[in-house]
Amino acid sequence: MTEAAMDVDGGDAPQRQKASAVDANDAKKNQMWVEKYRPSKLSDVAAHKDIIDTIGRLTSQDRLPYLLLYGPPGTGKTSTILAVAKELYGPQFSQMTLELNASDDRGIDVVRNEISAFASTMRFGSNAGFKLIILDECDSMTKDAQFALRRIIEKYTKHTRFCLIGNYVSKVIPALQSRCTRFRFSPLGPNAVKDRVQFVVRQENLQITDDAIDAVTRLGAGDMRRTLNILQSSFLSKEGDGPIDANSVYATTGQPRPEDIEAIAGVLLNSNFKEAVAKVAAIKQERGLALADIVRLLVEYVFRLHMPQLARANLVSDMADVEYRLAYVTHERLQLMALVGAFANAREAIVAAAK
Amino acid sequence: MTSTSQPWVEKYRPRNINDVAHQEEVVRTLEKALETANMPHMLFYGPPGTGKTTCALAICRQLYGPELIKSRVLELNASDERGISVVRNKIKGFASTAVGQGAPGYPSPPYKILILDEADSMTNDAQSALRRTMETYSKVTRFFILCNYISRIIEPIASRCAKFRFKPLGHEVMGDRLKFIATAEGLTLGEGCYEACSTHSGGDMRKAITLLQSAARLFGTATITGKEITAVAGAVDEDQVAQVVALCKTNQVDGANRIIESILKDGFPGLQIITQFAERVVDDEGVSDAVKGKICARIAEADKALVDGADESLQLMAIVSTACVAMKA
Ligand SMILES: Nc1ncnc2c1ncn2[C@@H]1O[C@H](COP(=O)(O)OP(=O)(O)OP(=O)(O)O)[C@@H](O)[C@H]1O
Ligand SMILES: Nc1ncnc2c1ncn2[C@@H]1O[C@H](COP(=O)(O)OP(=O)(O)O)[C@@H](O)[C@H]1O
Ligand SMILES: [Mg+2]
Ligand SMILES: [Mg+2]
Repeated sequence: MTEAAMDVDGGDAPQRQKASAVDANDAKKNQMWVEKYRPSKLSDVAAHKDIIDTIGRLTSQDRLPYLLLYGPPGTGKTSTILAVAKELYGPQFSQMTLELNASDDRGIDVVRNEISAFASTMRFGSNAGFKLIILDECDSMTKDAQFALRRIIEKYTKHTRFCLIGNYVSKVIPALQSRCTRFRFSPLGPNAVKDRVQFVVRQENLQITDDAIDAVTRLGAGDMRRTLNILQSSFLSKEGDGPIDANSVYATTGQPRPEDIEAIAGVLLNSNFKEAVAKVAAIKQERGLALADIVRLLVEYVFRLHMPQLARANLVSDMADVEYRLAYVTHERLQLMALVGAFANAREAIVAAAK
Repeated sequence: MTSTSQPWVEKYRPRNINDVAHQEEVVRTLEKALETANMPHMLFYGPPGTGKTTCALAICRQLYGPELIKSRVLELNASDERGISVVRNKIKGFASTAVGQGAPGYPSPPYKILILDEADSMTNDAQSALRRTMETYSKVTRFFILCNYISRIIEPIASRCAKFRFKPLGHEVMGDRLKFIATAEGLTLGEGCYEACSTHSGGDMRKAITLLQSAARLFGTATITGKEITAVAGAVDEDQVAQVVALCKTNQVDGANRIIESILKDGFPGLQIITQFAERVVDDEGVSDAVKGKICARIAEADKALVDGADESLQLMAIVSTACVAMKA
């Protein structure tokens, strides 16, 4: 059963050597969690209940429209369409679907030849009346190829369904968008993420504290794949025999803990310039933190602070400048000095307002 | 005498993940991976000389042994062509082929490893083309993606990996490693040597080792002190920097600029001068915090401008001018 599930994912996967029962077990054992826990049925897809229900209903009623699934990474787009295909075709999956993604050359010729060839050949022996063409990562197709696709989509409406998937809907030409029913996969809500994390925790028999689950969920930021990767690396890097705790999750990801941000903010708001540079640099060094991560979290903190609005406006604007420059590979220490400067100004404004 | 010509950074590159200093989380993860033969795709990021390439190469050696590594590991770095067509052909081809027998005595898990070193130099298109390949062939191939700048890796790729930040090495850790190398090379590390290596390298172990080797080679003495290190580190004479700051305080823009010009003429990089100037201003008790803030804001902009390819001399003049105006009593 697991074998079948795997083959769906790797439609054109390599000929593996004869898999004995032991090998199959091994394969599962070596599988990384994001793939091991890829939903294999529509009902396993976490969150997006409306979308899944709608697609499920249309699938079972044999009324599947052309689909455009889009949204940020790790929200279940590819999983959803693979589950649909499995439900539609079962073991005939690989004859009935064509999956092309950004790792395939999808220039205009391929669109014209390969896709047309697949769409126009006879279907054989399946209940479903149509074939499925999945164009994953269609946001990286050239404009020309997309224009060519527009015609082909219309030509084969009878026997084929198209499903376009991408991260950035703006890179799909409007003419294609308008031929599809659009579903946006937004980042998963914290409860859905937690449920899924808890499911994996049970399957893998992990010892983990509630705080750690909260931390994993928070750092995953609604990207289920990222969340599972954080969970697996926290498990792998765990020290000793105790459960995975929040501290080790933060340490593994190199992300500041809420208390680190608190401490840094305390320094920036209370120490003089020279001291602040030295102390923040020390915390950074000791906890192994990157300034860009600190700045992003500090902004959230600043919004919770009680301070004159104008001072906050200036401070946030300065912090945004620091973050922007850091993205361009600038010098951490010089940018730290600028950050300290931004807070020095804010401190002065706060004092002035208090008078 | 091959050992004298061989760069120490290569000679003392840890062969075993346990010898990688200061990156405990990654090391523990990789050790566990050795045990369980399971791991996700890995993304290592962080400043230069912190052990990223070392870790990736060491784990491969430990997983497969010296023979099998040849067929199971493919390493591509910035010097290899890695455009979109390479991703679609060479990389996908390697990723999709089945694995054969393991090597006796090594864990040899049933997958290959593809190392993309210096991946921040890959175009967004080439990175995009990796997305589905990383998923489809995950059973037979693990990816190690290594880079300095995480902001240059597209989000969908980052999402597919367990991310590890490599931290700049602290004073003690660096000192221990340097002592180990010095002992092996028959050198004595004298007064201030660790501190100087640590300060001038900013936590970059490669740079620290290179400084030590250059000093040893240049001075040929059996004892290396902080003074020798500073001499090869290419730092500007602190007296000169102090002079620039003093001139700024008395608003003598022209005088300050003349010194800056002469330092630049001596071949010091702009960023080096800026950094030393900034440290001095920050440490100066006679300058108010508000003024420090103004100067540092301009310095941070100059830092970005230099990354964008701006003229060093102009940016330095702008900093000096800002400082003069800000420090006007
Ligand atoms: N809604 C979800 N429910 C359960 N698991 C999910 C969900 N979304 C993502 N995952 C997990 O993340 C992995 C990747 O999901 P998937 O391939 O569907 O993402 P995607 O939306 O196609 O992302 P990308 O845009 O990066 O291709 C899955 O294998 C699964 O483990
Ligand atoms: N964490 C570390 N522990 C021990 N040696 C290190 C460490 N990081 C770097 N080095 C030294 O610096 C050299 C360069 O390290 P490398 O792994 O190539 O750095 P990068 O992170 O830039 O890939 C290595 O040969 C090794 O001698
Ligand atoms: Mg996808
Ligand atoms: Mg490297």
